[in-house]
Amino acid sequence: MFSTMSNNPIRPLHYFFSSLTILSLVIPALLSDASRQGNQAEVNRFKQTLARELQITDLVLTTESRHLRHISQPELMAVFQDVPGFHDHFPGSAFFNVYPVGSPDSAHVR
Amino acid sequence: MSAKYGHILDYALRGLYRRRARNLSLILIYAAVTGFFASVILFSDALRREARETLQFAPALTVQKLAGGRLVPQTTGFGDSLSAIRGVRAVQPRIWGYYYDSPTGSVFTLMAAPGGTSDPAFHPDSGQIVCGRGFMESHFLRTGDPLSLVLPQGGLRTFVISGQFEPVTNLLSYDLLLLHPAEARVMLGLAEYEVTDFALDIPNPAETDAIGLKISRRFPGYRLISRDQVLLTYEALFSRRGGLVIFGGLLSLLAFIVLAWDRASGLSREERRELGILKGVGWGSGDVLLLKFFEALTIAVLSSLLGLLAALIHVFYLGGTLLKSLLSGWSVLYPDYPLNYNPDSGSLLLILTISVLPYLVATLIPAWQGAVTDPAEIMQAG
Repeated sequence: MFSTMSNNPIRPLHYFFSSLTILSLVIPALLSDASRQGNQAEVNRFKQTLARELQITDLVLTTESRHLRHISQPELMAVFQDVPGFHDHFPGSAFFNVYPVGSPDSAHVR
Repeated sequence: MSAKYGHILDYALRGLYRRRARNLSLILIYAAVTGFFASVILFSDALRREARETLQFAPALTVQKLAGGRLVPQTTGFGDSLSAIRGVRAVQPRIWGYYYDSPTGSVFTLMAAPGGTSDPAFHPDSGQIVCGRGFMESHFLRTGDPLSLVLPQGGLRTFVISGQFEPVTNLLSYDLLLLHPAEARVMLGLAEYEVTDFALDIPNPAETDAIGLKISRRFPGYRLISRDQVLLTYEALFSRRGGLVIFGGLLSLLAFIVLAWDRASGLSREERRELGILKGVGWGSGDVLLLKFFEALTIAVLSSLLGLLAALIHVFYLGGTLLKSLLSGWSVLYPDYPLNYNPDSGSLLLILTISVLPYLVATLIPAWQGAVTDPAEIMQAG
């Protein structure tokens, strides 16, 4: 029953294994290329020096609002901080959904 | 035995090839869904790693004064009270705030170079300014150009751009404007004796909480932020429970469910007929199931690998443009930062598991129903 099938000159099996081989070669190549880009160790050292020298506390992920630009330094009444009644309804806020992590003194004081 | 599997796989691939237009569109849509999901995972992993590697140098403890729930300036003299606390090695005043740039409508972070910096590149003299790439690019400026900033009390002050931050540090410096402390005070409307907050250097991390407790008892009304808290915030932000993964991942998970549902809701009339004929000519239920399994596996593996490839290109070569815009929201200035990549096998495994397994299971249920049905019944119904 099966032997007659392989007589057909079109062999999808070959296409399949060729594309699988190509993909499994390209992905690791991309991975290793991405990890080598621009000499990561040196770039990291550079970034770390900047962070240490300027005592940086936050990443520039967005410049949408103050509490997202410096997400680790929120003001207690952040929702009112820009203009009166201007609530925290920025579209980016949804993606900055952080569960509270507590403060260094909160555990003891409470 | 293995020859039999080879033939069934061959037959499955021929079947897919016969319906190539339909299967190709399925693979493309499936790859797009996997690609989006993989992008979210790779992007959040890369940002979490960046935060961990750079923010470990954040101040051990930041002391800020609050009045009525808002951050208010402190006097420099308060730093002496803080440095008297045992366990504190150094107290560094920080002067920082925001500068609204009316020509572009964007807000930049204005900072004073801390006194203790050893690198002259981070130490502009009076009359000089060091700018982040965001400012330079949005104003088409170059190093050496003059730059006028608007003073809070009106009027302009002109600086010479003495340098700009390297693009590799964009994640930290894209919107920064670095000034001499005296001029930063003028730009932020602070008096000579005022600073924004204090950064404490605590050599023994185990003492941070105890020192924090001591400060909050001795000086109520001050808010303390520890380095651990900063690191935990970013860890939480880009963790699997963070907003980006929850919302971004949710979208793609819903799409996966729709895809899998389409398969699980039953075989098409043509597929049922084919199963009936195969069983009629002597295929066993196991062979038919294996055929459907190979078909589903081929589609799932090809689509997942294509999706992963697309995600790698999107995040590490095209800079994760789609996801950055989610974080940017209504920003006027769009931060542009390169991301480092370190392969994380756990994440790759998660992506492949979520994209391959549900589809396989969803395909096998109707295939099994078809395989155990009497062939005559299927063919009569068809």
